[in-house]
Amino acid sequence: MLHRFPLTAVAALLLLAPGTALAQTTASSEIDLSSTVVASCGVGAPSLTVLDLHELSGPDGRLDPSKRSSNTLASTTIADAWCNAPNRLTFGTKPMTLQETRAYAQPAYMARDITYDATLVGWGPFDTTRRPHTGDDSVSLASSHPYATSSSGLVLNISKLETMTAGKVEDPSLMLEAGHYKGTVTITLTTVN
Amino acid sequence: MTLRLPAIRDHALSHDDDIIPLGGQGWEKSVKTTLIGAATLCALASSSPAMAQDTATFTATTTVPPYCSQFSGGQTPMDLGTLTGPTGQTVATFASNAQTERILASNYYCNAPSTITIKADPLMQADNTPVTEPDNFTNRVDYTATLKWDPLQNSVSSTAANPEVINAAQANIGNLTLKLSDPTTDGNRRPIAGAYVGQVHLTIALQ
Repeated sequence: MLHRFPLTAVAALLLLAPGTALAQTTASSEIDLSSTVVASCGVGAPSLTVLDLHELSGPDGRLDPSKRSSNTLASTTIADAWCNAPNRLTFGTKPMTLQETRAYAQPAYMARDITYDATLVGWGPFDTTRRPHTGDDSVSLASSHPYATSSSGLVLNISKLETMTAGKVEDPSLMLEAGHYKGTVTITLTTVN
Repeated sequence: MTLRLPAIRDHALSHDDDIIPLGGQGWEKSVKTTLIGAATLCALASSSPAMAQDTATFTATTTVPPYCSQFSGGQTPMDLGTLTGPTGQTVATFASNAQTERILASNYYCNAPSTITIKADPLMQADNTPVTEPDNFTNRVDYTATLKWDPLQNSVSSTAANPEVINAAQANIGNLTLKLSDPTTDGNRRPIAGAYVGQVHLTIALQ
């Protein structure tokens, strides 16, 4: 009887001992993270927002021949343009038109509109040139992947001016009516699905 | 004669995390005292004239195994919000409405020396969209993960090849909190659009 008790007590002790199965030598867990990058585009400010082509007419009242040169007459640079998703660049150009309103109809030998070459360099592998004749002449350049300009930026060059008839036909024989002329080039970047 | 064990079950070790005392020394002492008392009682109760000089002595021991309590990373991902700003480049700090901090366990404890290993996987664009302009764009955003186990803490960047370790040289108890910060991209490249996912891995080991 006396010897039976310790054995009984020990047995009870073993039962009461904490289960070693509870002891963990290692445990691991993963915490998942989520976030978003919104599809967007950005166009930086041009180095020049107004390109002044100065006096357009030559001694004979017609467009100065130097303005017809294929050499760049004026230029501006957008240092940073980008889209982080598939995108479309819209390159819109409007011809330079006389800003003053005349009380008389446009004479047949006079020009109130001037076209030009607007060349965009730095978006995609190829240069893009528009030559506006009507009120708005635009083109879209689609890209199926994100794109950003290189360090040289997005460059707009203006060249090859020419006078136009009232019907928006180029005619180098026309004289320019006096006044201020203004055209517009618009570059728009948008993401596409 | 009837022998009864003292009510040692009242002192039994429990598997309930909340009542395992750290280190277990107090419990061990209690069990020893109880059982030695039981032995004494047993010896007294078992005395008989025929065995007047007979005694029995035994020592009862037990252990408290090293143990760490449970924690969970949570069922839902930590939403770090929008990663980019107006320039398309990574924001310097996560958005104010982002979930950058999570308490993984309150009063987390290990009753013995332990280590916690932290490894951070970068945030990667989930759609695996190819990056066709790698000079300008990336599909990877890195960050820093900081794990705090009061009063200990350590941080690891998702750019690091190897994990970082919190070394607890003794039993410790404190809130276990994960904090994420410092989103960045290599070369300040712009991340391409899309959903981004990542993971933080924690491994806790008893030494």
